[in-house]
Amino acid sequence: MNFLNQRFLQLVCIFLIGYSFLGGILLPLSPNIEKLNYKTEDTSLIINIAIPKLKEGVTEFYLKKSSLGDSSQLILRSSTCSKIENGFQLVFPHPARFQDFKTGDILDLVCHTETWGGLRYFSAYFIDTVIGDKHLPVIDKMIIPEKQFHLSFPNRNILSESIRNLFYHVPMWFTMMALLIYSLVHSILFLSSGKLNHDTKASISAAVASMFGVIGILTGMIWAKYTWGAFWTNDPKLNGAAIGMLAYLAYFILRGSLDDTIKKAKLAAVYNIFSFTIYMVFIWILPRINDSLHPGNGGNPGFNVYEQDNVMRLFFYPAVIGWIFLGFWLTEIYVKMKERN
Amino acid sequence: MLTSVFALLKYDFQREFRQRLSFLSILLYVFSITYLMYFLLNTQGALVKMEVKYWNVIFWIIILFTTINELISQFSKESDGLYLYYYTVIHPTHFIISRLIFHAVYAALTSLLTYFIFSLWFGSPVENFSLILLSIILGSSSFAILFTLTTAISKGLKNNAVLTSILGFPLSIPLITLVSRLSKEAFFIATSDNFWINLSVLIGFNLIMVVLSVILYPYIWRE
Repeated sequence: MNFLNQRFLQLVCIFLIGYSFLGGILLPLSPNIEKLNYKTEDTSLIINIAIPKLKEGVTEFYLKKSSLGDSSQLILRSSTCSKIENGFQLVFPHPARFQDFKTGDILDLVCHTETWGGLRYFSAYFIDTVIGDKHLPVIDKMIIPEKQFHLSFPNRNILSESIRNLFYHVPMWFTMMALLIYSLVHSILFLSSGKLNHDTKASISAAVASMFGVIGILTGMIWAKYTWGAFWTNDPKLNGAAIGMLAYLAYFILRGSLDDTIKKAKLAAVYNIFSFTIYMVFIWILPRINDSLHPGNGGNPGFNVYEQDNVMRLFFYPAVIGWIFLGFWLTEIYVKMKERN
Repeated sequence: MLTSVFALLKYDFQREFRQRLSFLSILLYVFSITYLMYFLLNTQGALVKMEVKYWNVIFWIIILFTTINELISQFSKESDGLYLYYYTVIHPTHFIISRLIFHAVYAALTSLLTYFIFSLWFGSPVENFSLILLSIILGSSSFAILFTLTTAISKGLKNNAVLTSILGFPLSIPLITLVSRLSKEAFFIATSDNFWINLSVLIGFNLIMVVLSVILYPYIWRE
């Protein structure tokens, strides 16, 4: 990793982190349906929604079944729509009067806008009983307007502003993974060659990786408090993170309880390889078996929901590259300090 | 290779049979810790209509701690001189293979005994008897395999009993979750869909640990 000593690359690293940090804080969120309440009458359903940041016109509102895709014909258009403060009041024919909806269906509210594409509020209405025998009014195929490019982050229910944490939480885990793999490689190299500088690199990169892991846990805990409602949930990924931290703390205690350098290096390398493998099996296989609250597990939308958004990508990838760079740079500095002493 | 592994295993079992004291001490350990749990839970009134999930948890905790103590006492029994002798005559791979087999079998036997002792006080709400036997044998041998390597790492260090537990506990969490999930199926007549996945993941886990121990042990053999 000697190429990291070049001043140019260090400046690139600082620039990437600063860019993603500032951009992540300063860019606004896109408008979305933020608040929704409804009251039911005999033949109609009145929904009040708030879209505070929308500055332009909307073209269409409709309800559709959550389980069906955007090309579905089973949709219910609003009969009237009037503007109220911060949003709109919509009147729909009552969904329970149509036999195309079944008891227990969940409806999403979709709103077409001129430049922001389709805004949607998931699970806006739940049908408890269907009373009517009418079919839905026949409509042509709906075309969702193309979303134009805006420099803003997607706005999702529950996540809302905390979506920015993606740039500060996820890169920590990427960096930790990269450094742990680096540490593993140096442990294997030490066992095969017996050179002590490999051991120094392995131990220091494990230490830096644990530091990134702790930061990752802390940022994740704050995020979890605001989105899932608790600092710690019984989630396979969180348990994996905790086990990894415990295993690497044990690694440092093992190193600390030995004086003989060669013996320390050998035992630590063996434990590092062993625990890394079990840790990998634990975090990559066990979450596949049972559900996780994290994206991409147990029926949750995949991680690429965030990545599909081009603006997120514009800041997420630089953040990942920058933080990984910083991790290796820190490792390099500590290795040099250790070699001087 | 097979002959030296068999010779080592034979020697280990013979020695264990001659010195019955250590086996009896493990049994006494199981008796006292089970009675302690029983007494403690009884004073809290928790034993009345105890749900099977608590039975499962207490049972596996006792198995885990028994296995750790067993391994520590096994390793501490052997003097440095004996190790020096082993070092001169045996290949490290043969040694670790015989150790893994010996500890796995030993742990499985004591865990089966633990199960019978445990059911004396806590009862046995098991519907599927063969399944609980399978999960006990697999689970305790996987603990034994895991702690064989951590005891081997921490052997000869100052506070080795503590270090063994520190090094092994984080890694035993995935094992104990898998094992308790497997043995939970024994309380119901029908097995769930996840049963085969859990079983194969546990067996795969054991294989990975065995392979890693066999590969890595020769490096720390001399220390």
